[in-house]
Amino acid sequence: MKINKIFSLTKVFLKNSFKSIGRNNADGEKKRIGLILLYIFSFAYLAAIMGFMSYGMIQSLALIGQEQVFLNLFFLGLGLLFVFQSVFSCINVFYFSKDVEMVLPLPLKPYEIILSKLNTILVTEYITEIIFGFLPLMIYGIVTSAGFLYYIMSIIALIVFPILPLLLVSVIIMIIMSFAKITKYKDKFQMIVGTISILLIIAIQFLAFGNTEELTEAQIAEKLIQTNGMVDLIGDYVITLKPIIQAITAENIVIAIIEIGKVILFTIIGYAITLLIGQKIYLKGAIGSSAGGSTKKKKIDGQKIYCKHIVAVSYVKKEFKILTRNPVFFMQCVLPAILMPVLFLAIALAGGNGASNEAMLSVKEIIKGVNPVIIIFIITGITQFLGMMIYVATTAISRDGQSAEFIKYIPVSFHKQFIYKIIPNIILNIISMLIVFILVGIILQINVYLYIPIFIIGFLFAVIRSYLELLVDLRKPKLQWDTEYAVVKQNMNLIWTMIYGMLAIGLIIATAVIGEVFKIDARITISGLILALCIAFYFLDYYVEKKQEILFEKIY
Amino acid sequence: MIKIENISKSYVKGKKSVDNLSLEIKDGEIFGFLGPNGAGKSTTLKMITGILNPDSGGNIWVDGKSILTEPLEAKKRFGFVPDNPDMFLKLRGIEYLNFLADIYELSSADRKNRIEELTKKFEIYDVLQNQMQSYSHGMRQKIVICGVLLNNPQNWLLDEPMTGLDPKSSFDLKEMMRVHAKEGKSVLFSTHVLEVAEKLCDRIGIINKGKLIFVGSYTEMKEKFKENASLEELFLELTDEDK
Ligand SMILES: Nc1ncnc2c1ncn2[C@@H]1O[C@H](COP(=O)(O)OP(=O)(O)OP(=O)(O)O)[C@@H](O)[C@H]1O
Ligand SMILES: [Mg+2]
Repeated sequence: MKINKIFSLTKVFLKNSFKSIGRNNADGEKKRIGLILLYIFSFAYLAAIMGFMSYGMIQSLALIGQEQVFLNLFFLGLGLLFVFQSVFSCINVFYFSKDVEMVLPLPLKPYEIILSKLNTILVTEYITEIIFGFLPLMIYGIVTSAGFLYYIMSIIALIVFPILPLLLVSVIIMIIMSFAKITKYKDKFQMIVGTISILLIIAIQFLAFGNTEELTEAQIAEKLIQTNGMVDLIGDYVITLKPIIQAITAENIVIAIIEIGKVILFTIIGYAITLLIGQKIYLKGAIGSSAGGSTKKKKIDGQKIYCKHIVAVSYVKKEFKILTRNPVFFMQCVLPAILMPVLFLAIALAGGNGASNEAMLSVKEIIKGVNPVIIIFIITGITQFLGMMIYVATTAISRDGQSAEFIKYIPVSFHKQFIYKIIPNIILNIISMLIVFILVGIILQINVYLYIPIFIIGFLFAVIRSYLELLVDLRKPKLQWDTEYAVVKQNMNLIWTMIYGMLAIGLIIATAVIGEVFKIDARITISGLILALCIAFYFLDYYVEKKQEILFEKIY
Repeated sequence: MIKIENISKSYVKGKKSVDNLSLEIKDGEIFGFLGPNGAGKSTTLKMITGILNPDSGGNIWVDGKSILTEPLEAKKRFGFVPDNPDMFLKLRGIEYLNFLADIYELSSADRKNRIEELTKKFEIYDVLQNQMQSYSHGMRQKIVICGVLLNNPQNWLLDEPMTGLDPKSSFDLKEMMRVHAKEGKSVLFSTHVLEVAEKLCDRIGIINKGKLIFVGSYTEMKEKFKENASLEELFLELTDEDK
């Protein structure tokens, strides 16, 4: 029956979006398994952090007998997470993924496509849930020594809970798409929605947890309960929130079933409404949406447009244009370089002007006493940490997709193109570094001269990391993709950006430790590090130049 | 002039997509490369242009410069239109052309004349300010062709250039190929359509399953069919196709 159709359609969509992991079967099972293990490890790491944080929260709340507040916050947070995830996924999966064009001409009813698409998104949300949602609930159960019923209900709740936010978001997006004919401005629309969502997340973080620094457990608990007031408020609008919490905390099975029954009923109604609306309006918005771009006729104005530039400038400009005009690339590659340090700055400032002014003063006092070398190393370490979020070099080849073969037939040497490709990454690293400098300048007011070695070391590290990251991408470029997300999200190579960042931080710490242990003069330690980095850079560049033909072999 | 000597390529071990192919395209010649789907036409063109490295053994020269040992010199001597024109779709047409002009180091005045001349001829001048993602397949094809023609390369390599072009543009392109060849330059293009090859090409090469099975003029080919039944079959396969 229909179920079969929907099932196989879902499978096709899923395969399409997870192709990344299955591809490249040419290079050996072992490596792939290794990478998958690496992924599982990082997911486990994230899950552990979540668990650890939850444990802390539950403990502080348990002290004042308010541990149930945790559940409210937990589901509220999870719900928000799903709303944001759904905004991105729905736009992308419903409207801008290339399989839409392939599926539309098939004899399928709109609701069949919608159901399959919803399933596809749900699967990714369940993965999110396994990472972020599972452990905290289990820990809550253990801490409150809950019974068997709690665990059963938690699992059912986790299964049902993500559906309604997703349905809500998808209906809203379908309505926007069909009415506003926004598809013409696809790129700008996605950029605006994306940026607003990110800003909202930040704003909510501030509202909820303003400044959590230096608070006692009791104060934290108080803060959390304050936030809980918000839950009551929002709970009236998010209808599944209260029944779900009642279901998992129910004393007896009858109440549990009644409450969870309510949730399931709401979900079914939600499904019905979504499909009814979708059946009417989905196709209207979807047709022709992947084309995008305005087709206004504009005159070519003046001579300026024909101005000649040297190849390097022209090439780097081209890279930046593609980076900033593509909403997904912009959000995943460019925005973090600017937003992350700003976020950092904002949090630090919020901490600074709140209760802990004395704390700030004492930090400044301490810093006066601290060996400036340590400050140099710490700030350089921070710049490298922020550099880990900049994926421009790691995706430089893959982002070109099928146009990548262009690199191969133009008369510009691969070595030069290698350098042009990493320049945007280096520039974004420098921007991120400068923002950190401003932050440090405002808060710590360290000696201006310290910035010079920090900049030199940070810059050299950024250059070397960029080289290594592009080498990673060249070794396994991902050129066949349907949506940009495959490059900047579902891409195993990204993990190397983190690894190289951590290595850089490790090297900085090691240098600091060696300098301390052997009592080496600060100027010598720092000059030594700079010299070592220069030598490393020289050899890297030499390697790339010598091996350029082989390095670019995988692009075709 | 393009000279190919004993090149082979296997994407996967044991299966040759191009098998020991040798070929010479002389100056002033239009050469049509014919064959069914999967015959190895694109693979050959990709090896000539340096996109793919051939398996060891053979060599390829563009105007006497080997793509293997002097790649940059060789790459300056041809212009290539790939089979998939979906390139850098976030760039505006004018930006794309300017970028190419920068790469081929054209002066400001030269590029202005060339760009206006070419794009007006192909009737895409009016959309140059739009991002290429708003172009139709044929328009994308045209802008890629314009990009290649900007610096008037000695050798043209085109992978199925006619697909997606409307009759007028197709006609214009063929005319330009003729003019190009008259100037003593060479054109190599691939196609499925025998009729195009018949009317346009000085010589044709037929490739099937990686092997070059015929090289010569159209009349020579007809002669050959009388003797060779399997070639005739392939010929039918090619003529059967819709235009
Ligand atoms: N990236 C690739 N990986 C593996 N095999 C490939 C790849 N590209 C092409 N092939 C194989 O090489 C052979 C020749 O393909 P090629 O693209 O050169 O054919 P073609 O003559 O251009 O066909 P068409 O007329 O369809 O464009 C085919 O058998 C194909 O399966
Ligand atoms: Mg082909």
